[in-house]
Amino acid sequence: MIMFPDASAEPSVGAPERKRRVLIVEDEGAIGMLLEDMLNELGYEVAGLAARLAEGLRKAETETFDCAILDVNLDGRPSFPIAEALRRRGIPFLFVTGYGAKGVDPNFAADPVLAKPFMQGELAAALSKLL
Amino acid sequence: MAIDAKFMGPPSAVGSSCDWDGALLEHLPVAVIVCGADAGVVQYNRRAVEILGREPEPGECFDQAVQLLRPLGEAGGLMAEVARSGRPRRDIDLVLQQPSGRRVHLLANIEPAGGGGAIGCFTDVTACSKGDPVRRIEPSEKGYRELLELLPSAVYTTDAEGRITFYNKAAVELSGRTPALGTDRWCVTWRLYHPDGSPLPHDQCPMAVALKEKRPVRGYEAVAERPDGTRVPFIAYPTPRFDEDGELTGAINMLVDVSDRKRAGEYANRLASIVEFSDDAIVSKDLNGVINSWNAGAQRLFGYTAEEAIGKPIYILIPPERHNEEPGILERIRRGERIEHYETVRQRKDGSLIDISLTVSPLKNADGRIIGASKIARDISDRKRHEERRQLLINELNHRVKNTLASVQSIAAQTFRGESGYRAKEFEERLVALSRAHDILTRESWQGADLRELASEVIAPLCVDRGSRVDIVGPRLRLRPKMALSLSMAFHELCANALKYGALGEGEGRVGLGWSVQSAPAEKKIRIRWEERGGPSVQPPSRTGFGTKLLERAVARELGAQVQLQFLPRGVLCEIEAPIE
Repeated sequence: MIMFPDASAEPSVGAPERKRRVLIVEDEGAIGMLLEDMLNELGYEVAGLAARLAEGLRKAETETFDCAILDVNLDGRPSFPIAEALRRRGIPFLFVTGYGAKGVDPNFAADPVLAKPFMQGELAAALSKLL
Repeated sequence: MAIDAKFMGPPSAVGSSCDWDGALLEHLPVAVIVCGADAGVVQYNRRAVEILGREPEPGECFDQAVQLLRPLGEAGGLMAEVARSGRPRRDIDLVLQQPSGRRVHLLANIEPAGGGGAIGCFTDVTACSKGDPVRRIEPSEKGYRELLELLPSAVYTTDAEGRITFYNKAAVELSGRTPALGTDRWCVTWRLYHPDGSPLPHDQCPMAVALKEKRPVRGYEAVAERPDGTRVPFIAYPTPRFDEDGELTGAINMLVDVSDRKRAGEYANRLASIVEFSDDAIVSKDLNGVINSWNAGAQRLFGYTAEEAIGKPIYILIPPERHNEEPGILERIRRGERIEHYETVRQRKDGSLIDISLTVSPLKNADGRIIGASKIARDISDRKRHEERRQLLINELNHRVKNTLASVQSIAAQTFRGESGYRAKEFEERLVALSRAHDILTRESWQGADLRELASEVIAPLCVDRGSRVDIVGPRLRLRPKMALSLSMAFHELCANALKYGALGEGEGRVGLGWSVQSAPAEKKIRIRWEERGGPSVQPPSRTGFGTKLLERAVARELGAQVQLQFLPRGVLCEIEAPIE
């Protein structure tokens, strides 16, 4: 597999001793699965996968993980309350969305956004900046 | 000098009871009338009796004793006014009518007298000047006619029966005919109409009225029809003329052509009507931003009536957070600039906000000086709502398409699991390239995309650290959506190939991507050139890969393009020539 030059999260090159744990909040099953595969290949551990707002909020407030990937639209409901909860806990996160950066609430304009569909290298770069 | 209030009679009867020397008064060649504080005549000489045409009655007020024809408005007050005010009246032209009907033309000088009376001295100038100061300064008859000829307005005269006795060139021009002197009556025109278009018989025209009623007629508007059928609106000013005995001798008439004024008036009325019934708000303001006109559209749009808005500052329509716009607008107007289709927000009387498109133009006075501005405001709320709704739908569609592409990406990843990593990655990259082109088009509401932006966005994700090795050169060019999608796929394949096998791989190779537009008479074409150099020596591929197929078949077919892809030893050269309209 060709890795992108800035895919620094590649496990065999400079990987951390403890795998970083990532929470996935994504309502599309196939995309959630893709994220799981990509994270595993990049050397991360999936801390959990939530497909609904309430479930995502609960996990964001209670579970232990290093960062989160949030789909903006969870079955028609924005995931911004989850982002608020993560911000309160000081846990970094990034949005993935089909809307692009303009689809994100202005309160989160400074937070990273990854446009769907994205390549594994782009995800790796975004996560390495986040952590 | 004290004046006895008692009626003194003519000097012969004054005797010693008067300070005046009666004999002196009697021999004066002018009429002298003395009145008391109540304006009653207290003394007069025989010359006064001659000009009055009778003896004053005892205690009679001078101003009742005479029938003054001129100056109008002075009758009943000349002597009384001087007696009351103590201020003299000098060199007054008077025309009075005696009981016999005879008219006498006088030059009057009235002085105040001590004790509140007045002394009037009246010189009969009928004989020397016929009493008419205007006539006194008239030129000779020949000069008078020459003067009338030079006038730019139509002038003609008649005798007392209304027969034309004189006309000038302007009268011929206005009437479109040469009047018959001594035969034509009342008017030089061929046919006459009232302003409403109904016929006006010549014997009822303003001149006929002036002659029959022996009075001037002023400002009556009529329409003359020329023999060629053209019509001329005019205003008539007929004035009857009298001899020294007051007998009607004829009349003079001036016809003022008001075609231009009427046309200007009609034009102004049409414009006013357009403004009044416009759906747009049309407002004018002075250079201080004070509203000075307001149409019905403005009332509908902003809620203020004309009475409420006129005289108020234009700021009543501007939300406080936009007050900074107005000084800039006024400054541009002062410079004579016009502001077109400026989209902004204004405030209604009820405080609600409204999206408008504003066009502001300088208003000039007759001298061309800028004195204010006209503002035309169009309500664009519906359009804005429509645009927002369309953008919302496009965003929603984009979101769904992107999720679908991401799902396809996931399915492909699962499908290719266990196969060559290259295959899965190639697929993923193609999918993402398609998605990037989709993004650009979505930003432009699927109206088109800029070629440079498209090329940069496709190449950048592939060449995270090698983008500087791609030189993009070409004029700004908007592509239609279909062409944008096809070219994004083409650029992706070329770039991916250059990364794997060509100039963008290891080493210092570079790629030049350029385009030019050729405007042939028949069609406009774009020529795109992808040229690699400085990379490893290139061998033609042993089999036709997806990229080659896409370029030579799919892109060529979709765009009606000629595609030449050459694997030259120095690097790949791809040329695409396609119609762009």
